[in-house]
Amino acid sequence: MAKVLVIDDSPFIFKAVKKALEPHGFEVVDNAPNGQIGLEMYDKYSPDVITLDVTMPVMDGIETAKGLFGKNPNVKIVMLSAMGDDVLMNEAKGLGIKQFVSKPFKPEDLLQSVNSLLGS
Amino acid sequence: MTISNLKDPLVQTCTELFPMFGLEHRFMCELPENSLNSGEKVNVIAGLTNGLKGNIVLGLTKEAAFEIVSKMMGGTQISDLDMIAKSALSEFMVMLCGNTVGKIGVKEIIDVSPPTLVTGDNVFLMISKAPSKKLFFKLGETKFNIAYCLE
Repeated sequence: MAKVLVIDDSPFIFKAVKKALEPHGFEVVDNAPNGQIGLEMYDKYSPDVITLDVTMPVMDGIETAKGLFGKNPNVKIVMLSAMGDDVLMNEAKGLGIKQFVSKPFKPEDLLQSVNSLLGS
Repeated sequence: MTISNLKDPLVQTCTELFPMFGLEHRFMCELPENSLNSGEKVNVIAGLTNGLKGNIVLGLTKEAAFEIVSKMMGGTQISDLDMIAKSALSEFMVMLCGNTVGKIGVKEIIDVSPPTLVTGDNVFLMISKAPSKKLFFKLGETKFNIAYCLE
């Protein structure tokens, strides 16, 4: 069972990710409310996929992604963003993030992105 | 480039965002105000930083807040703004502000601060003494507004 860690300050999004992925056999292991805690939880859970918010207190999504790639260059991240900001997206792509899902997202869109990262 | 008006990107974002959740809204008018304030029972405040500095406030009646949260949670009946409901409203504000700044067309990154929610029956918020504008909308049988000021 593939493990998914949600790094997002919104409990609502955590619930939405669980609802989208758990019926399809994923284990959504935990919710980190900011990037700093997310980096700690990455070490704790070794998740197969991370869903990562952009706008968070303490440490935002871009800085968190840099930290995650520092720990594991092959880490698999789906970035969840409400921003229609090309500059930000280009920065994220430059870091190596390949999957982006715009909020509000449909459950099937998130599932497709996660499956795409896992090659299934 | 100096940005002084968010009316068009805000209205356009609402036109795209609300139907995504099955919400029917209608833009009524924009009025200038002497300060950035809100006297609604549910208020969601977000700041804009970096490429554009200012504040945006989503002012909602309780009924409007319940309606938005209910639709975001797939039609669940809402009678109280618990932690998940407040989180949903904050997320709605992130979507509103994020998509709005994406429509402005500036090269710089505009950051949206994590929203702050203020609720209560006798709330009056004075966020800034700078001149502001307030957009008024209808949402079904109730209403909401979006106020903003830019530095």
